Order: sequence, then structure tokens, then C-alpha cells
Amino acid sequence: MGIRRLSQPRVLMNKLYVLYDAQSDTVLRWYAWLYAQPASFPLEFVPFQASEQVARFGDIERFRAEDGLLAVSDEGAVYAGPGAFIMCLYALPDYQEWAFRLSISSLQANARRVFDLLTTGGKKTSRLMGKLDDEKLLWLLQYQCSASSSGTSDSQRQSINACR
Amino acid sequence: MKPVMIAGIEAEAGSAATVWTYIAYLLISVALTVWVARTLHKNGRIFLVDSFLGNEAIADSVNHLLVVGFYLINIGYVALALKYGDKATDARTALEILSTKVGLVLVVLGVMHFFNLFIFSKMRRRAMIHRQPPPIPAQGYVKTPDH
Repeated sequence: MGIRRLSQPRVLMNKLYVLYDAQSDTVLRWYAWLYAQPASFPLEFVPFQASEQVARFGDIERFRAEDGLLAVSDEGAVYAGPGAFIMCLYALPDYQEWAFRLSISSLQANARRVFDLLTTGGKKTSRLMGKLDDEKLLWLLQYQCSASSSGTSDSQRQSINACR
Repeated sequence: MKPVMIAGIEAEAGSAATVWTYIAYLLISVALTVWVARTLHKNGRIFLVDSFLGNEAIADSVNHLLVVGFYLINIGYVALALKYGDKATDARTALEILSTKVGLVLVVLGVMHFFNLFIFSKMRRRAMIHRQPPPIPAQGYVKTPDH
């Protein structure tokens, strides 16, 4: 279990627990990226494989999905599916605008894909994607998925996983 | 050809005009810099307090540091720009040169002013985002190590 450093004063949340599947290459890549980002409040990472630590969250297993990522606030609010990715972005000041954009638009269902692109391309990708309207961004995500599905390399396989 | 004595008197008059132009330039430029800095210090504080989530100590500290930087850049520019340009030979050229120099200082002050406003608004915008609650509702609740 790792604890991220604090870079900004807390406002509305004391801490965000990020429960992740440490056996998935894609999720481990997300974890490494998240761990390296400055956060608005501490992020505490808990691998699903650490059963004793997971047990501290009660019946959290019922929220576990194939995404391999769950976000839990310090007050126990659980965010699964697209919500987990949105909350992870919400915790990062450099990407927080994405959390709000993904939460109110037709992009919400694609939060995982956007998150995956951001973890791969970082701020440069964020800036470029930020210039696109929702329609063009959706087209880009579809294009990225269809392009990835024709490849066989490790990085392409990771992209395919993110499209699911 | 002018007699040597007359040429000398003219040169001396030109030199005096240049010195007076420099003195006026320094006085006007520094006064303008102080006025703009005080205005920024006074009216920028509220933005900074808001940006730092009501933490007045940090806001005042940053405000002070911004003003120090403002003084250093502007007075530095005024000092460096002092000797550049034409030299005054009479009252008319002295006024023209003074006007040009002070005009340049005003443009630099304006650029610095808008740069400061840009910084203030960027900090405030960031602070506003940080103040937003989570953008999506929770799907459920569990106990946590904190509760």
C-alpha cells in the first residue's frame, strides 16, 4: 500500500482510496501514472490482492468490476466503473477539468478510454484532447479503439483492454 | 562654421537638457511604478485571499512577493533604458525624448499589469475548481479505515 504526497491544501475530501488490481498490466500502468501525479488530497493505493487491507473496507468486493479500479472516499463513498476513473482525475489538479467534463457529458461512458489515453500521453495529450468538442473526441476514441484492435503488440493490447 | 565658444555653450546646454530629461524621466517613471504597484497590491489582495481559500497569511505573503518582483522588473527596466535613445539638445527635443521614454515605461507597466491579472485569474480559477465537490454521486457506501 502506498500513500501519495500532498501538493495542495485539502478542500472537500481528506483522502481518496484507490483500490486496484495489481495483477493487471494495464491497471498497474494506471497505478504508476497516478502515483507520479501531484494530487489535491492524499491518494492511498490498496491492491485488491492485499486481502487484509481490502477487508478494512467492509463489503467493497460487491462493487468490484472488471475495470480493476475502485475509488473510495475517506467517508466511505464508493465510485465504481466510469466513476472510479472520474474520481481519480478529480483528485489530480492537472486533470481535474477532465473529471468535470466526463461527468456531465456523453463522454461519461468513455471515462475509462479517456483515462487510459491521459495515462499514456500525459499533459500534452490532455491539452490536445481538451481542444476537441465532445463529438470529435468520441470519434477519436472510436478511431483509437478500432486502430488498436488491428494490432498485436503489447502497447496495442493495452489500448484494446482500455477500449473494453 | 560656429565659433568654438558658441559651440561649447551649445554643447553644455545640450548636456544640461539631457541631465534634466534623465532626472524627470526617473522621477516620473518611478512614481508611476510605485502607483501601479500600490494599486495592484491593494486591489489584488482580495483575489489572492480567495485563491488561497481564505488563508490571508499566504495571500499577503504572495502579494508582497509579487509587488517586489514588479518593482524589480520595472525599476530595472527604467534604469537600463535611461541612456538609450537620442540626447536632448534643447527644450523641444528634451520633451520629445521624455515623452518617448515615459511612454515606453507605461507600455511596460501595462504589460506587467495584465501579466499580474493573468496570474491572479489563473490562480483564482484553479482555486474555484478545487472548491468543487465530487462531480458524480457515489454508487454506494462502505466502511473505511477512517470511520
